Amino acid sequence: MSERVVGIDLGTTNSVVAFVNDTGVAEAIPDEDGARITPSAVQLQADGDPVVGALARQMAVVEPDRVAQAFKRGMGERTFLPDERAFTVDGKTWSPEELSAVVLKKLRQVAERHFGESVTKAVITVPAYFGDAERKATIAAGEIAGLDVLSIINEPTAAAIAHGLDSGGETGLVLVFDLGGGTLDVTVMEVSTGGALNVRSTGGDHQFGGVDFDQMILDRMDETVRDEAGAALSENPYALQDAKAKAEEIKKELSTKASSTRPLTGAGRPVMFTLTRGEFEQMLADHLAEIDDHVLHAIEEAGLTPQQIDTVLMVGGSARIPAFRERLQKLVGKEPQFTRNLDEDVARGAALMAAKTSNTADPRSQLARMPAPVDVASHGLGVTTSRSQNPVDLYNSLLIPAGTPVPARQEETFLTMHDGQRQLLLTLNEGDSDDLDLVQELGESVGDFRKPVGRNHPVRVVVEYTDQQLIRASAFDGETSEFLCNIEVKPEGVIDDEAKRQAMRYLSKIDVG
Amino acid sequence: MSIDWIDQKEPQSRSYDDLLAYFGVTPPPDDTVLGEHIGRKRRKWRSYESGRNKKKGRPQATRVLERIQQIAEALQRNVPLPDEAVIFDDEQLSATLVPLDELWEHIDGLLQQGDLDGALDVARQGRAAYQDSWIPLAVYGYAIHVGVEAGQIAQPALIADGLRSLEEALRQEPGQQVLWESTGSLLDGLGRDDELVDLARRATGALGAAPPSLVGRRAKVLLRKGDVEEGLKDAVRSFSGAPDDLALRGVVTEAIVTHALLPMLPLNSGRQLQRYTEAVTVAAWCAYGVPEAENLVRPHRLWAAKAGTRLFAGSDGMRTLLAVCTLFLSLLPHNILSAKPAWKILHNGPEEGWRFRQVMGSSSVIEAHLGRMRQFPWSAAIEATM
Repeated sequence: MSERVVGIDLGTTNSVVAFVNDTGVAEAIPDEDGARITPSAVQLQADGDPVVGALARQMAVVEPDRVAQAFKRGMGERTFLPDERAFTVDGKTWSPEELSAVVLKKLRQVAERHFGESVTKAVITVPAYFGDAERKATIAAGEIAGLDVLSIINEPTAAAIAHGLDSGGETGLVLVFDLGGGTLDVTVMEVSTGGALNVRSTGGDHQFGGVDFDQMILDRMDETVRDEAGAALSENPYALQDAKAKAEEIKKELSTKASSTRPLTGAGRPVMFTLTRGEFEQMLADHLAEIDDHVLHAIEEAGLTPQQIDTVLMVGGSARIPAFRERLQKLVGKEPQFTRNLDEDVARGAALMAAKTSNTADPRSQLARMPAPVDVASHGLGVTTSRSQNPVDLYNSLLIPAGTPVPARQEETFLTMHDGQRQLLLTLNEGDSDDLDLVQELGESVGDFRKPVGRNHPVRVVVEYTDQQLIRASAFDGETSEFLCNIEVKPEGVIDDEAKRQAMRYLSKIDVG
Repeated sequence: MSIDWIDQKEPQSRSYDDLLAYFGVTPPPDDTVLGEHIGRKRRKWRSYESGRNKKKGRPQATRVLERIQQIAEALQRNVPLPDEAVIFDDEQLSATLVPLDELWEHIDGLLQQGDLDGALDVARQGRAAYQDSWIPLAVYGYAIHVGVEAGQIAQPALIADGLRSLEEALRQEPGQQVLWESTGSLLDGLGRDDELVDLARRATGALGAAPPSLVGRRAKVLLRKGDVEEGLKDAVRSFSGAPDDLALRGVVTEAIVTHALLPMLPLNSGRQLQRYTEAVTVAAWCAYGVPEAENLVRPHRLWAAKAGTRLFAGSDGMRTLLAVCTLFLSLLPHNILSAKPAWKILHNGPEEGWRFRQVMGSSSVIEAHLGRMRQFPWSAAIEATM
């Protein structure tokens, strides 16, 4: 029997694990309670193993300092907390990738209990917007959880795979609008005959999603409680946590109802809070304009106009909000379609990719015949160079622009600036702008010439974007082809090997609750 | 068609033509094209605002978005431009090359503001511009040294680059104390102990005496390597040379406690007690006035004072019997003959009975021996019975 492989949607607020069943259909795997969606919340108990899921989210009211949520927003960085404090419990600091590993371990357990056998291979999805650091951190999280990460794919691509295979071969240009708990991803892709998927451009905002809408409602709740009870919600952590849960409920309810009401607690007495859909949409008004910009920008980056888009596909829990659907319809002039299941389709698409990647799909199936999707670089890659002899005139010289199909490899020859130059500083940047303030420095490395070289001596720089969307850069002497240096991208948040081994040992011993 | 205008942060001036040029439009403007270009420019900068940039990139993009809005309103709806919305490119000002004689001061200012990235950028520019001077090499290495000390820089490649820069600066200007200090810091950061010891020797040759911070770092290395005598001498030299450098004294004290005092415990001879007491004296002197360091040394001071105290360790019953039989004449000699120093009682362990428990009952004794309890000959037997 072939080895089990799964697809995992590791979300900001919720995560899902899915597999492809014997009939070739991808389905989400339920946990022991029958829930197919696992909240991405981790409770680190004083004694005992970590708890993941709904219980952990509920425990945030009792032990807010022991519960981590929305840590995906800090992937690739040291911390996910907005004030940049480290998340520390009982003297141990937990990085976003370690917390993600705990969630992945939980999902792995769910799959293993379902199958009654070990599961070690997975495809994990990430927002298309993720850069190199976040992608590496996601792979590290998978490895810590004991998973062999077959590949990481973009969430909109996974959703399009699930949708495409479900709907049976629509072709044309598709705009995928993926508004999840923590990120907005806008992707333009081309679907060709036979299900071939080519991503043309990506855009969006990685700090914008459902949790922000919850916060807006929570702020309004706080105003109401202050007006009516003369006390702030934050004065009582239990009331605040209760209000947070109710803010999410109201947001969901307003997708189908004209208004929603919940009782809150202020200064020890009940306060009724009502929000209408109109009021909610007013709160979203500023963000709707921003969303227009992100959608149009992605379409422009693909070299298209809105009229050329054939299909608008909405994915992610927050895509249920009617205001976004109406806005998209107005903007693109097409009625948006929804994937079969907004919350599960990304994981289902990942499961389909996992089956395809591991060659476990039925060779006669449409899935097996479907060409592998072609992704594009979500961010440009360039190196720091100077436009002139003036050393302050530094800029980002773009080698691989955003939107280039990956894998990609590009090389360019630059010239040294000074006579007698002995060294070369290679700095790799992520981003399209030539302004060094508007790009992210991925790493730098110093190379020594064998002997001092003259001004205008050629240096060949090679930048590669692998099919895992991982990045390498190298510099060679342009005359002798001698290797000078390369960039070992080591994002600050990605934990080192020893810490990773320790985390793996720890997670291998525990049973996540 | 060139779209360079899309990345232009500021218009050239407030003139109507330059405001139009800001959106890639020439007069007379076509309203539809202007509207499209405004939207396109706004969307580009929105993507910079929400994208992965350096920390200073995002607010910069937000400022440009505000500027786009103001200028768009001025062009499309004749809304006057606010006075502060001019316009002349302040980014260009910050990109001006810093004069050589202001480089140290400028970098120092940036570092004091916590702008390590900015300091490194300016230092790199200086290094490329003033190739004949040691100063840019020095400030670059110095900025990396500050980053390492603050825990903001850990990449070995970058530290090594700073080190190369400093070595070159030292070759040109060996009389600058700060260069020796910064180089020592980077060698320390890279754990290159032998080179650090050699650097201190070279600094002594060049300056007449090595800078106190470098001597302190050498003390750490020597103590770590087990050369306690020379390490302690260096420790004394370092804080004698810089009595007001509390950070240096804290670091040296910690090194003495970790690498000199703790390895001497448990005490097993009078000679060992003497060496321990001498080292405690140095540590206490070094820690004076630095609260954290004093706390670290305190249990050792108490134990050093107590360890030599002789306590009666014989049989109480026998002592009473002898005293009564000899009309108490034997009491004094018996007490003297049956007494043992506290360190020996501790070393012998539970077989010393209640005297052992009396010595062990002191919290300072336990604190001083933290991490060293397993070294007592009796500890294994106690663990086995637990």
